[in-house]
Amino acid sequence: MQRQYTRRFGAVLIGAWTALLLGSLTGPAVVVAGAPLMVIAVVGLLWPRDNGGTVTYTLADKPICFEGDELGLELDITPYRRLRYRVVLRDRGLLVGSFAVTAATSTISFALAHFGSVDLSGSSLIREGPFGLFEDTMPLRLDDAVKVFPPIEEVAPIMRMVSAPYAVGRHRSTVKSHAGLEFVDVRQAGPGDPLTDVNWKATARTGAIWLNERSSELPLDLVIFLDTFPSADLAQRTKLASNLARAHLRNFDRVGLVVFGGTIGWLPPATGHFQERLIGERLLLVRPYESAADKRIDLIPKTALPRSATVMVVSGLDDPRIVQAIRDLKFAGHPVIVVRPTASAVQPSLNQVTRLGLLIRRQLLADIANLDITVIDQDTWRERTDVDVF
Amino acid sequence: MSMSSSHTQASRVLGTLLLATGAVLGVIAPSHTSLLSEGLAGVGIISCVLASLLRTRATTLLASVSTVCDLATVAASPPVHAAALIVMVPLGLSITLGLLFITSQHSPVASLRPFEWMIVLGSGVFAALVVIVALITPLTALPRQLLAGMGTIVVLGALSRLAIRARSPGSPATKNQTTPRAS
Repeated sequence: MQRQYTRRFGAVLIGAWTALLLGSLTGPAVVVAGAPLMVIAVVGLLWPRDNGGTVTYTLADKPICFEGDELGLELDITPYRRLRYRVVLRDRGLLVGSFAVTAATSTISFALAHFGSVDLSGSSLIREGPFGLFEDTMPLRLDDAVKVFPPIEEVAPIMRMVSAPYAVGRHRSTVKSHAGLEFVDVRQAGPGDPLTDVNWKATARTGAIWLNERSSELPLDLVIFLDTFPSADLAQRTKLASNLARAHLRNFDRVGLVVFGGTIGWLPPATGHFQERLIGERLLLVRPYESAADKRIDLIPKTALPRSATVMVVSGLDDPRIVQAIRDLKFAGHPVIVVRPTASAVQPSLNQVTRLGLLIRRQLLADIANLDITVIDQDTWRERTDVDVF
Repeated sequence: MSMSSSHTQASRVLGTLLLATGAVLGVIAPSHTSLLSEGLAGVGIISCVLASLLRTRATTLLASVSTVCDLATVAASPPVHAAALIVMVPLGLSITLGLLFITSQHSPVASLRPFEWMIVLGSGVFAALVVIVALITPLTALPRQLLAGMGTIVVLGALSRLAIRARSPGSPATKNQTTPRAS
């Protein structure tokens, strides 16, 4: 155990030395007054050091842990002295919580409030010395990282807002390269349409050429393109990406992931529960890395971003590099949907800087929409209804 | 306000009262008080009141200042009569408990455990013994004895510290030693 003296010990020591010093100069009265402080200081200095005995601990393992779930840390301290014990849990230096241990064998329940890969190896068991003069610290080697997944939330409201000519999931898909056999509808032929599947009945009845519409039987390739440039709503974006991926995978789509930010990572599209787990675990590693380097979609391999894949960009559109990436994706021929998660509540009174920011963002969204990209931005919609910018 | 913070506040108020009591006892113990002792007592009381209002780090600092001022109050006008030394025992206990309570993060009841109460009360007994020694020893010789004793403690402490450092594996005295290699 590593011993560290507290500020209280410093205060007691100052009092004890003051009593000794003044007593040596003036007389025994000060020594008598400071005697309890001296005794306590001597107790703190002479309290024996030991290795803290044996502490066994196990972290109750759950197969899947979601944000807010309770975990248990079982402790067995031998020998247990009549002192104050507490467990301090830290995730990469950040305090998760401090919990009092009141018995030799006890279980500490704690909840991890934020999703991610939680590294509790910096946690420790602290034994407070008499009078709180010092603290003996014993590190708890909780080396296995705890994977905390984001909570499952319904994403249907966002999906309903998609008003694109194409659709995703089990909805109708008009991706021509995936035309299947199942009849869905008829449509009037336009310039460039191949006359291979003419609906002769409708054509004979109306005089114009009508073509059969058939739905795709192939699953849709969807790539969730997550913007991880540092921003206040990165956690929210990551949660949204996780829920979108889960929703589409459960609709039997092939879903891939591209993490685009300070670092770039990817998972090629695939389907099934294993892919859901892979995407979930990859999203746990998302961190806001600062980087001024130029980032382009050329860095992403074709296997991770197939040519026919629909790209769903989950972004706050705060970094110019993600805006450029959206343009590049569109020019590369991908159907692109931009999903911008709900940010913080709109302030009723807007100052000029905020208004200018809103105008710039609206212009940016309009520029993106002009590229025939569907933008789902709940904030802008709400601002349009609630707040008058001018 | 949460339960723990209300407990802490209660401890702080109690500690403030005890430190202030120490200052008052320091003033009224001698038969003749001086302006300096009264001023020091005033500073001690202000410090402990401020300590109860501010945050933890400042609390510890101001509580130390208050303790030093209380002791300095006694030193500024020590009791003339040796029998008045007995007042110094509750004064010392009051200062000590005040310092412990005002820097506590727990309720007044949970601040000290039974064995800690025993140590504090034992220290009161020790202080009473010091009074008895002072009564049977010529008071003029005691400061020099204390000074010599304090010097001895400092020298012994420094020597023991050096010895501990020399024995620890990562110390400068031992880190240049090389382990013998098999040839």
